[in-house]
Amino acid sequence: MAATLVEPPAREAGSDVMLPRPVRVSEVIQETHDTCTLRVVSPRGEPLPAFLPGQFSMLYAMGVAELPISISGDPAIRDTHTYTIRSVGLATQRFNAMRVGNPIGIRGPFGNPWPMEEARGKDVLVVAGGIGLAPLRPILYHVFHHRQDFGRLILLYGTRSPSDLLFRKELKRWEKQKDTLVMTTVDYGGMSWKGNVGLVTRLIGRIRLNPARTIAMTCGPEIMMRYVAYELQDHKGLDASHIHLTMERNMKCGCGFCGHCQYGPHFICKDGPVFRFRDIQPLMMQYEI
Amino acid sequence: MNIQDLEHILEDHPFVQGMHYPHVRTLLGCCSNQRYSPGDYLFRGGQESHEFFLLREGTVSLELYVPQHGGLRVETRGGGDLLGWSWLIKPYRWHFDAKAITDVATLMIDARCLRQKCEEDHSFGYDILKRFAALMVHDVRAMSLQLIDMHKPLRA
Ligand SMILES: Cc1cc2nc3c(=O)[nH]c(=O)nc-3n(C[C@H](O)[C@H](O)[C@H](O)COP(=O)(O)OP(=O)(O)OC[C@H]3O[C@@H](n4cnc5c(N)ncnc54)[C@H](O)[C@@H]3O)c2cc1C
Ligand code: FES
Repeated sequence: MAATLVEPPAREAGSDVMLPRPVRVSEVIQETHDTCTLRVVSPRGEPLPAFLPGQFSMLYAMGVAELPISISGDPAIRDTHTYTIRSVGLATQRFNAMRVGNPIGIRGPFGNPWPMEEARGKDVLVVAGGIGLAPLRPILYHVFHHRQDFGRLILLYGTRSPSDLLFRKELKRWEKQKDTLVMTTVDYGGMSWKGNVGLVTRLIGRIRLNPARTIAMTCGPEIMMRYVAYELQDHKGLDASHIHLTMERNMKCGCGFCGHCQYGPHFICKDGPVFRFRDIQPLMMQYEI
Repeated sequence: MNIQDLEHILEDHPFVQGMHYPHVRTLLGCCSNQRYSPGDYLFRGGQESHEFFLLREGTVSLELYVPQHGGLRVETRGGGDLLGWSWLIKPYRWHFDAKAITDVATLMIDARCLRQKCEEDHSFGYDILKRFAALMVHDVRAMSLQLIDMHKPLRA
């Protein structure tokens, strides 16, 4: 399997970025009661656009709505794109009801990716909350393909309850990989649950990090990411420039034309969704943004 | 286990990180090594609290007894965590059950001994209090985040 990251081609304003590319669903995986993973392919099987970990597509449910969804698959696989979608409203419900063969439109990939180059030679700490594991999964694929380029890989993953855990089989597989630590926790666990109960931030206290050689990437509810970042900064000594997180806002164009996703001086679709904590830390505490 | 081994284990625990060496020695005087098997209780709600635990390995479940329902798992703690601050505040009573759900290795701190040493040496006592205050703030923050259920889509 080819495992090098391929830079998506540069796009120019006025090109066909606003035109959805028709694809069809080739596989549906029901991950949890409200979340599914869709694999999509081109109708004639030609490769789909290359993407970098952390990038997203605008997914069009024909005649319903278009929405931003991160690519959750392996960046080394070129003939399919994978999306993991949690049902929260009309459009995401529509995607969760999709069957093999259904048509979808995709635009992209868009956005600023996770800093994989900067992470080379470092320990990689991935902190995920809920559906936030989906945009982070390509990081794990990339690190496993290039194991010698990275130090320790630590995944801390928290969900609301045990039944909300995504990618269960993969979590078990990842646990067994060399130099890899996987810890999961749930906010509410029944008495039969033998794993951790408590917030994902609690797990941070239990790991040893070398702050000088660690890069952290986190995705989940905004409140969670804020506390993860503070915990890493205040208790583990990580510099705010070594902590990266993804921001979400409503989007229309997905590529910096419409201003819909403005976040202070940034457009999330173009300058993000991945940001350095250092660059957005002051914005995160401004209530009116 | 001899006292040197115990000292190394204590020094390695995040709770004593950055602690002044004489204070580590004082704390060591109240410390013993304890192991628990799955199903063992480290303490039970309602009992008097005269110890706290620095967890080394394993998982401990904090449970609340709900009449006619049984135990409700509120949180788990693992290696590197501290367990218990009821020893610090009168009337020194546990509010939760703490049950080992795996094999557990801990350092148990005798709180009667510690309270005495805190009274005798206020600099040591202040150090301990600051560390506990930080952990209590941490716990309260975590609990409030758990309460708001941050994973639920926020309805407008
Ligand atoms: C860059 C980016 C990447 C994303 N990647 C993914 C992904 O990989 N998987 C995925 O499932 N979602 C992802 N999202 C979120 C997804 O786009 C939204 O959930 C979706 O637009 C909601 O549309 P809807 O019509 O189903 O819900 P709406 O009708 O728009 O909203 C329904 C309810 O859900 C709430 N809601 C809307 N969006 C979110 C949200 N992001 N988080 C929590 N609650 C929300 C609303 O407040 C509303 O109450 C991403 C968003 C961005 C900006
Ligand atoms: S969605 Fe149009 S500028 Fe970001």
